Amino acid sequence: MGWRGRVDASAILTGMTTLLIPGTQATRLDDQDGTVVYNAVRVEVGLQKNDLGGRPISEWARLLSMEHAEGVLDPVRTTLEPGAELRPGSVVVTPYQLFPHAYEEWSYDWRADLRWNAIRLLSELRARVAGGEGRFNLIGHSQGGLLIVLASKRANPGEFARLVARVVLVGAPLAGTLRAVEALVFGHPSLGENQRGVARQMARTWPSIYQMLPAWRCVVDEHGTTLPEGEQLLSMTGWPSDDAGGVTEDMLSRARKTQILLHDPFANFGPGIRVWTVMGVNKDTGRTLVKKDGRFVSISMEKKSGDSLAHYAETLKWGGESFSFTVVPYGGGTEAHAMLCADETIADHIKHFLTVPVPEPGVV
Amino acid sequence: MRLTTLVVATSVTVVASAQAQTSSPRLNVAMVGDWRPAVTLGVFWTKTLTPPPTLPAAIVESHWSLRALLSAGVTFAAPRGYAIDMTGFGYFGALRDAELGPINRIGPVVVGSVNPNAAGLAARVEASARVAGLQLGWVRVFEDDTHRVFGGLDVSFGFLACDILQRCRDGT
Repeated sequence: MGWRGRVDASAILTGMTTLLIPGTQATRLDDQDGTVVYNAVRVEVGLQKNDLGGRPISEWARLLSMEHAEGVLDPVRTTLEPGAELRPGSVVVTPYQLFPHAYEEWSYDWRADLRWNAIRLLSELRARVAGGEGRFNLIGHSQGGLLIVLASKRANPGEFARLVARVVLVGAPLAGTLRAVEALVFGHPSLGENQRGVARQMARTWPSIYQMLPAWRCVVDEHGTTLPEGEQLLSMTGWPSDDAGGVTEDMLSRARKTQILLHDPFANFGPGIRVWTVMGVNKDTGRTLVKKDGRFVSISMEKKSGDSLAHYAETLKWGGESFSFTVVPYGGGTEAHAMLCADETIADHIKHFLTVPVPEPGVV
Repeated sequence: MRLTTLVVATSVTVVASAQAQTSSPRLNVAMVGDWRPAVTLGVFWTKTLTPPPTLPAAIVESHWSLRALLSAGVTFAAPRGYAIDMTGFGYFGALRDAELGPINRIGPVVVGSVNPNAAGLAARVEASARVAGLQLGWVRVFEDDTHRVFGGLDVSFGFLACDILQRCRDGT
C-alpha cells in the first residue's frame, strides 16, 4: 500500500516507466537483519539521535563508516561493525509525497562512490529495456541527478537515448556544494551539535561526499581572496595536517575524476532525450570556505544564490551552455533543496514535462 | 443519515484519490464548534496556479496554489447527545507562498463539516513540505444556528506513519 497519489497519467498514455532517483540520505539504510539504522527524516526531527539502530553513540561512527580499496569503485565493507552489513532500504516518503505512486523509486546507498551507483543504474536500465520495457523517464533529485549524468557518461555512444526518453534533474549539484564541505570539514549537525566530530569521522569514509565537493575554488582567506589550487580541498596539501584525519588522496582522486565527468553533463545523452532542470534561486547558499591562520573557520553564505545546497551560478558555469539552456530557475517561496520535489509548483511542472512529446532515439 | 454521510464522504475521498495527480493521505484533527475533536483520514490535494514554463525560462515565481481536503472519520461529540459518531470534514482554499520561519504557505480556506453540520471560513498556515497545516476560523453550526470557533491540525500521513513511526510495510 503506497501513500502517494495513485495515477500517473503520462505512464498510462505513453507506456513509459518513470524512475525516481532520490537524493543523498533519502534512502534509509538497513542492517543485515532488515532493521533501519538510518532514517534521515527521523534524524532531522531529532527522534533517532538516541536509537540509531539501537546502538549507543560510541558505535555510530563504526556503524555508518565504509571501507574502500584504493581506486576500486565497489565498497569493501558497507559498515565497520564486525559481521554486519548495511544495505539500501526503502526511500523516505516526505520529500516525494506529491509524486504519483506510479513513479518507481530507485533506492541506493548514497554514501558509496557515485560512479558505482551510476553503473548499477545503467545496468538496470539496460536489463529492463532488453527485457521488453520501453524507454524510461528519469527524475533525479540532488545526488540522484548526478547518478543519471554519470550513467549516461558510462553508456555506449547513442545507447542512452535508446534507454531513456526524458530526464528531469532537480537541484543536481553538478559543481558540488558547500554542504559537502561542511560534512567533511566541520561535521554535519544532524546527529546533534555535540556529535559533529562523529558525523565528520563517518562522512570522511564516504566517497560520495568528496565527489560533491565544490568544483570551483571555494577556499578563500579572511579577506575573501581565492587561495591557489594547492590550498583548495581537492588537493591533500589544502587540508591542515593536524585536521586531515581520514582524508585520503584516494578519496580526493575520486572527487576530481567524478567532477570532470559531471562537466558538460549531457554530452553523451545523444539526440532524442528531452531534458529539464529545476534549480532553486531563492535561498541563502554557501559559496566559500574561509581559511584563517592555516585553519578552516567558517562557510560564508550568499543571499538567495541557490536552493540552500546547490549554488546556482557555479552550477550553471560548470554545466556549460547546453546545460544552461535546460535550466528553469525557481524563486519566490519555493522549497529548499531537500524538499524541492515536495513543492507543489515543481511537482506539478515535472508531471507536465513528463507528458511533453518526445522524439524517437537519435532524432533531434 | 450519518452512515450515508460517511459512505458519500468516503466515496468522494476514494475517487479524489484516484483522480488527483498531486494528492496524499492526511490525518486530520479538527474541533468544529466545540472542544470535542473529530479525527478523520482523507485525501489532501494541492495544485499550483503557476503555469509550467517553456525553455529557455526566466525565473519562475510561484505565488498561489490551491488546497483541498476531503476526509471521513469519527467525532467525539458527547455534548450533542452521542459519545462517538461518524463525520465528514473538508476544506478548500488558496494559499500564498510565505517565508515566515517554519511557515511557508498561508491563506484563507472554506471549511465544511457534516456531523456537526457546519460551514465557515478559516485562516490556514502550512509548514515546509506540507508535512503539517494548522487552521483557525469561525463556522456557522446549522444544528443550533450559532457561530462558533473552529480549529484544525492536519498532518501528512506518509510523514507520520511511514517516516516517523516507520509503520509502512514497504516504506512508501
